[in-house]
Amino acid sequence: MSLKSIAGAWRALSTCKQADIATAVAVDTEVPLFGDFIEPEPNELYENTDEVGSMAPTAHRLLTMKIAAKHTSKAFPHLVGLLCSQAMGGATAAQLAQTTVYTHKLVCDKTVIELPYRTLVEYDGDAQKKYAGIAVSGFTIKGKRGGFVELEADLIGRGTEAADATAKPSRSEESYLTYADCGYNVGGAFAADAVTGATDTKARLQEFELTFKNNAKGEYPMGDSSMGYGRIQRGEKWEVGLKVKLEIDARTERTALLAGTDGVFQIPLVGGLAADPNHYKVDVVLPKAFYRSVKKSKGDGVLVVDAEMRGEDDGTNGPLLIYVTNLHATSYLAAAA
Amino acid sequence: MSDIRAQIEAAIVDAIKGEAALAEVATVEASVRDCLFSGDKLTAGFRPEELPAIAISAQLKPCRKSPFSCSATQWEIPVTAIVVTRAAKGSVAMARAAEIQAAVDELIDSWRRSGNALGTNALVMGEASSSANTIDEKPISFGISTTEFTVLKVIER
Repeated sequence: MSLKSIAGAWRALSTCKQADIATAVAVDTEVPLFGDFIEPEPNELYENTDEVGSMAPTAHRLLTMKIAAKHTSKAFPHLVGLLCSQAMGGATAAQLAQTTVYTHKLVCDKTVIELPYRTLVEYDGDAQKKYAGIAVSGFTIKGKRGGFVELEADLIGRGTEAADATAKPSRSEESYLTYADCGYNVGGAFAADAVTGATDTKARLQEFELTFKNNAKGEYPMGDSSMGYGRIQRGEKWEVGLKVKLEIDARTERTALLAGTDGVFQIPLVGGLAADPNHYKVDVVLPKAFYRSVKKSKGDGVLVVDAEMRGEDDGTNGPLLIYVTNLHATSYLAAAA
Repeated sequence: MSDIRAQIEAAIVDAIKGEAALAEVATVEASVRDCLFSGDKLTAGFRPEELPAIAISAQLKPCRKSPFSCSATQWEIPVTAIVVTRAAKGSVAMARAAEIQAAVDELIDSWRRSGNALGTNALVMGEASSSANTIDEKPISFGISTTEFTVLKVIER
């Protein structure tokens, strides 16, 4: 017996989406690999315990398989674009005039019912496998003082795997985002892809956590003998939540909670220069959100408040928009050529 | 190991040389002269025209290396920035050293943001601590201020 080291393990995604859940496309971008490895697992493993007459099961059958995993990583704009676009369903790319820089607008697209899929290849240090049909059912972007901004995406996949020998692709040159890149703006107005008149509140911000869920689930169509999902579709509702921990100032959060007011919340994450004067950027905007809870507590001898907000659909922009600015030239939901 | 330290030193020296607020600094170098270690006189170690000076070293303390991800290694590299100034009076030398140190501190803070001048995934993390004192070598006084900080560098294998 020989031990298998995980050193050198890697994970890669396709920047293009698949045409359907079963047809893999080439992976072309390595993504940082933290956390656990992916592996298909049984979704329905039948044992005949419901059969009368036997003290133990006498037969079993593997009916269906699935992939339920997480991709956890320090965040950078390209990774946010790849994973968050899949969860939200809508992505467009626009080049900034006279530059090599692109702004990607990620939106919650209600017309997208079957979620977009990417192909994922993973080398665990011992074996390399390809997983076609990976969708994202939700993500969390969080940060706190003194640390990196982290992204965790909930992956849901078809449940099939195949041997793979693809060479490890290159990784994006973008730097990980840190607490020093974070801003936090509250209030103002949101129009034409810009927040104006907001109050800069980042000095009071200790930590934040943005969550998005599309409540996706997989379906096993009749007549499909693959044992994997035939379709992964979003649920009936999106859930957009924002939690922040702030040093208390004028108790504005509690006032807004009791008054039931809603407003714009923005978390701009501005990194280094992509192409002067444009920066690598992830700009999170909740165009209309309200406070669900505001609780006072203490930390290191000062008063702090834990506030939780819920994003609402304002009828025009949806409950959440994420703008990613980098050098990636195509839409994050472009189909393979 | 020394390659990464030398790279960090070179990047810091380049950044300091390019900083407008530090344009008056006569010498910026990636080495610490013997006179700053030993009891030798600073007047012997630095010519007047070489001051004020900033010395950068990532070699003075051991660095730490640990896995960052399955395919990346994280280096925690302690860096020391030493500002040396010269004046007829100790108070003047100290004030000048403090002024230069403040500008260096601004640069260090900017290196906490991603995509900075130190390179991809090279970030200042954690505390940056400073100290200052004067050395009297009549008829001249020297101001010495030292800032220590840690650069976290992630290297893909």
